[in-house]
Amino acid sequence: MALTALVKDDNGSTDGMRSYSQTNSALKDSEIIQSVGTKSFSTNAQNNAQFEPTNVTEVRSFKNLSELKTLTSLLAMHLSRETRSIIFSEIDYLLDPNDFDISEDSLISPESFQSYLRFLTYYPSVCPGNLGVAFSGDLFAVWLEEDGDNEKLLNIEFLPEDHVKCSFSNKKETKLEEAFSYVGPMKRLEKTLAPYSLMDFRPYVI
Amino acid sequence: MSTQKYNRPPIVQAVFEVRFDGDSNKRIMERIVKKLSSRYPNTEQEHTWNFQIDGEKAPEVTQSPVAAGYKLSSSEKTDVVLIKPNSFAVVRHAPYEGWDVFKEEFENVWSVVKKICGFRPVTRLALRYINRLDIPLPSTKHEVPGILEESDYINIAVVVPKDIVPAFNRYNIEFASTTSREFKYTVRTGPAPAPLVDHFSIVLDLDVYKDIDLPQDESAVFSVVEELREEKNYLFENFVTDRAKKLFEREI
Repeated sequence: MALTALVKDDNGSTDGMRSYSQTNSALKDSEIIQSVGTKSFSTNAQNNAQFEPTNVTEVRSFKNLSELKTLTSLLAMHLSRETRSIIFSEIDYLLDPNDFDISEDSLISPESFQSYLRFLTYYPSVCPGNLGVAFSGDLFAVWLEEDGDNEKLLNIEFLPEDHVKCSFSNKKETKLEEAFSYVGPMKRLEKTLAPYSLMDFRPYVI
Repeated sequence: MSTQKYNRPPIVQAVFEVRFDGDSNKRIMERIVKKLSSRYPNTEQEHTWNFQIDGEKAPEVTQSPVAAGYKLSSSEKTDVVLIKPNSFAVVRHAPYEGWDVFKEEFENVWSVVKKICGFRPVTRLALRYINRLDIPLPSTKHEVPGILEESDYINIAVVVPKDIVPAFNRYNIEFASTTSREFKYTVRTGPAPAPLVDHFSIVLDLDVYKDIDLPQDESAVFSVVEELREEKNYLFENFVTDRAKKLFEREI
């Protein structure tokens, strides 16, 4: 019996996705050609300068970047053009295959990134923040609220399944007035941070 | 350029697909890939592997992998082109930026394919739109009162005896029919994982196509595509409720 590894579309569906029974997984977006042996890929990178991932590290960072962009497209209709552009610019920077150094940089956990996207849609008035990657691969964002000599710094690390690890500090004239941390569901963040408004925080350039 | 009807179009994927009579060989597919590479810089190649399974022996590859097609994608991963020996498909992932933008995209790809392959009889034209309705759950911060009833949002329902099945949380519906203009269509719907917090999602997948009596003249082909779109829109507007449409109209 000869078997072919290429999954055929038996129900005559228009290409792009297979039957609906597979649509749910496709919507998670491993999609379209994942069922076949992907043997090679290349990219010309964004500026169309020829870029060919030549080693394992470059391939991994490139694949990670692709996966995160695909995840973003799943809820892109709920993000403004500006927010989406900021997110892409941040992850392009963090995972630039030309600069990625496996000894210093971490790939971004897709589960953490999903929590971040869900955070942005749950708190749609919050700006995306400046992004970084923890050694664990979890994404974190940093925001700052400044008022004269007063400074409030907020750091949120996005854990899988809509959980966050948050630290907050409030300085007045360089003196630490208060600080606290929180680990738990992102939905409780608004109450945890009361009376500070999440919306007042702006991205903090690290 | 026409404006979009909805601020949050629920389209997760829009697919335009053309199937041809006869296969392209690998060299022709590679030429198409090369020609499209500036717009779609990321290329993945797919292969078909043939295995022989014989009793208790380990599966054995019986021939070298065969080039089955290419997947090209834009740098943002939102635009994808699938090149196969007897078809090509243009896929737009969310955010959908309107028919005019999508149409321009597939017309450009069509033009490249036509120049490289020459005339090939068209055997099937299709538009497939996979929509996902993201519905806020009641009693959350979205303050939607009452109980979530799917029939408030979509006009396709599972009918079961309530005394035997008072509630269920998973179903799939698929049906096929023909429009008044004799276009065939398949509809698939069912719950899907919700990408938003405190939401419930339903997929509405509309696949409208024509595979008989197709014109071969290019302008007539594009007229058929416009008709497919009209039929797809008519179906969509009738399968979702006004309450669902309000969700798509909300500003971001």
